Amino acid sequence: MNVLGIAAYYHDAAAALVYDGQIVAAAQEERFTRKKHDSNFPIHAVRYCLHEGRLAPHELDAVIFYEKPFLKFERILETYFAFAPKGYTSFAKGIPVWIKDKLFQKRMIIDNLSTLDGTISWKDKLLFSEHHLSHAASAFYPSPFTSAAILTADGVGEWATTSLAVGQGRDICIIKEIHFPHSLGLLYSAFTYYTGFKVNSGEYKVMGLAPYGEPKYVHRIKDHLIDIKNDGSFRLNIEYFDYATGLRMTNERFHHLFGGPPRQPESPLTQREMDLAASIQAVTEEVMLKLARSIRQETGERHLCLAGGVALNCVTNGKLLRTGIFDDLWIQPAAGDAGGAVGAALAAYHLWAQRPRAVNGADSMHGAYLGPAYSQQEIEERLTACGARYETLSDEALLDACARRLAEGLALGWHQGRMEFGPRALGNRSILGDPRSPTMQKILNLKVKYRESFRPFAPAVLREDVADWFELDHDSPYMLLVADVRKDHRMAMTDEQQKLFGIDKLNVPRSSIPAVTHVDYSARIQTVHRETNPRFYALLSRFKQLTGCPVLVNTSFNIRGEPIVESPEDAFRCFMGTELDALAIGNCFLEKRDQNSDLKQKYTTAFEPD
Amino acid sequence: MAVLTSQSVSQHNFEGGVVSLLIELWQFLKYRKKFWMLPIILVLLVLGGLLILAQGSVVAPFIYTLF
Repeated sequence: MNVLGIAAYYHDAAAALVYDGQIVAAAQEERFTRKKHDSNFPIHAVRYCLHEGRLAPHELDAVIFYEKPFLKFERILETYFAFAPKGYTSFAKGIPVWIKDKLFQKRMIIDNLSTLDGTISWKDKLLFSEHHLSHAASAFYPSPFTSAAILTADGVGEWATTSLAVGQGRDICIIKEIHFPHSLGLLYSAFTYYTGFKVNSGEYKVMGLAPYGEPKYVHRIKDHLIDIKNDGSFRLNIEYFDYATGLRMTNERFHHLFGGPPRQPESPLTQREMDLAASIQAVTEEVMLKLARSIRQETGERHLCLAGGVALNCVTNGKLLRTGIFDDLWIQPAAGDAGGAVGAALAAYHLWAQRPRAVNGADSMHGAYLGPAYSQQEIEERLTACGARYETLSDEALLDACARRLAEGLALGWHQGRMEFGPRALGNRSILGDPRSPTMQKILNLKVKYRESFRPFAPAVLREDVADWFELDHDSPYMLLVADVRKDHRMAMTDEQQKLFGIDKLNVPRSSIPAVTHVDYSARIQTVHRETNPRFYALLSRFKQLTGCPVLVNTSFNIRGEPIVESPEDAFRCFMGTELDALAIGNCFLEKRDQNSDLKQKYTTAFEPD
Repeated sequence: MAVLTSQSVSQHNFEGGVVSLLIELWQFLKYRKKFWMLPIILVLLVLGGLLILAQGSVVAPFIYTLF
C-alpha cells in the first residue's frame, strides 16, 4: 500500500511517501524552491517522493493531509467570538483569507494533485488527519518501541497545543489534551518575539541564548503568565498576550511586566534578553519534566516518544533523558510541522487502513536521510555546467583530502548521498570544521554562515567515542540531545574570564573542542553511526586517525536565511558565495583557490535573514 | 481515554465547489454539535463571495463596514 503524506499552507510544507508502512522518501518544499519555510503546496517534494518510490501517481492508494482545516476554522471563529469585539483588526485581515482560500484547501490540494495526473479521482483518495495525531504518529510509529508514552507539544494545530497519548502496536490512544489558547509553544514564541527574533524560526536562537543568562524572571513568569499544576498541565494568563486576537505575540501589559518594549530585530543583544531566554527555557523545562512524570505515572510506560515544535528544544530533551523518568526516549527528527507529513502517512497506514506495525529494534527514519541523492555522473555533469573546477577522487583519496583540510583548520562543504529530512543537517548537507580550533566558531559564524556570533555550533562524534568526550552515553543521531562536554576535556576559566559578557565569554576556549562548547560547557550532540551514514562515519574516523579527535563541527550547509542546499548547484553557489575553503560533492573535490573568481557571487544579501 | 480508530483519519465528501462546501460544513457542524456557528459561517460566506467578486478592490471597504 502506497500512502503520500502532505503538510502545507502554514509553514514548512513537506511530502512523505510510505510504502507498506516503511518510510521511502520525505522532503521539505523549501529545499527545492529555495524559499525558507515555504508553505505552498509541496508539489516539488511530491514529485520527488514519487520519483524516489518509482511510482506513477495512479499507484498511490491514499493521499493524506496532516491537519483538518474545518476544525482549525472552528477554533479561529470561536476564538474571535470569545474575545469580541477585541480582535477586530485581526478578524478583518484573517477571515477573508479563510473565506477566499483556506476553507477550500481540499479543492486546492486536489487541483495541485491533478497537475500530476488529471485523470485520477483524487477526492476518493484524499484523507485528513488531526494535527496532533500526525505529530503523535510521527513520534511513535517510526520509533524503536513496541509500546510507549507519547508527548507532543507545539504552538497550535486545530485545538490541541499539547497532547499526551499511549502507543501500543499499531494503536494510538489520546489520554489528555491541552487546548488553545493555552500553549507552551506559543509561550516560548512570545518570548522569541519579545527578545527580537522571528516567531516560528527564532525559537532555537532563544534556546542558544539561554546559557548566557540567569533565569531571573522565572518567578515573574510563573506568578503572572503561566499557572503550572503538579501534573504539568498549565493555563496561560491571556491578558498578557496578543496572539489570540491581535497581530503580535505580546501586549503592553506583557511589556510593562518585563520593563520595556520588545527588542528591535537585529539590534544589539543585552543581558536582559539573555536572562529572559534563560528564564523561559527554565519554565519550559519545568513543564515538560512535569508532563513527562505525570504521563509516566499514569500509563506505566517505560519509553517516551516526542514530537511537535517543542520537541526540537534539545536542551529540554537532554534533561528529560538525564532525569531518568523514562528508561528511554525517542524524538522525531522532523518534530516540526514538516514531520506531520510522515506522521499523517503512517497514521493512514496503521489507523485508517488498520495495517500492522513491525518493529525491528531500530528506528525506521533511516537516519533521516530520506531526501534526493545524485549519482556521480549527475554531479559531474551539473558541476561542469556550473563552470566548477574539480577533481574526481577515489573514496579513500577523497576522505583523506577532506580530513587533512579539516585538520589544517579549513572549512569544508560536504554534500553526500540523500538529503536529510527535518531542520538539521546530519552529515549529508553539512559544513564541517575542526572543533579543536579556537577560531573556528568565529570563522564559521561570521565568514561562512553570516549569522549572529553568539550562536554555538554542534559536534558530530563517532557513536563509540561519545562517552569519552561528552557526559552522554546514548544514541543521539538527530542532534536532539544536549549534554555537557566531559570534565576532563574542559578548561577552567580564570576569574577575569568568568566576568566576560556574552560573546566575549564564548570566545574564551573552555575545552579542548572550543568550537562546539557553549558557555555553560553544553553541546548539542550528533552521534554518527556506521549503519546509517557509513561515509560520514568514515570521514570522522579518518579525522580521528589524523588528529586523535573523533569530533567535527557540523552545521547545516547554508547561510543565514537560506534553506539547506539540496542539489550540487545549490552547494556550488553557496561555496562560491561564502568563504568556504573546500567542497566535496560525491567524489568530486573542489578547492576555492582553483575556482574561476568570476563565478564568485554576492551571496550575503540573497536571502532574507531568519 | 480516546482510542483512535480509522475515524480519526477521515475523508471529507465535498468536491470543492461552494454548494458542496456548504454540505460538508453542515455535516461538520452536525458532527461537532456546533449549530450556533451556522449563521456566522453563512454571513461570512456571503461576504467572502462578495470579496471574491470584488477581487479585494472597490467592494472591500464596503464589506468591512458591514462588520
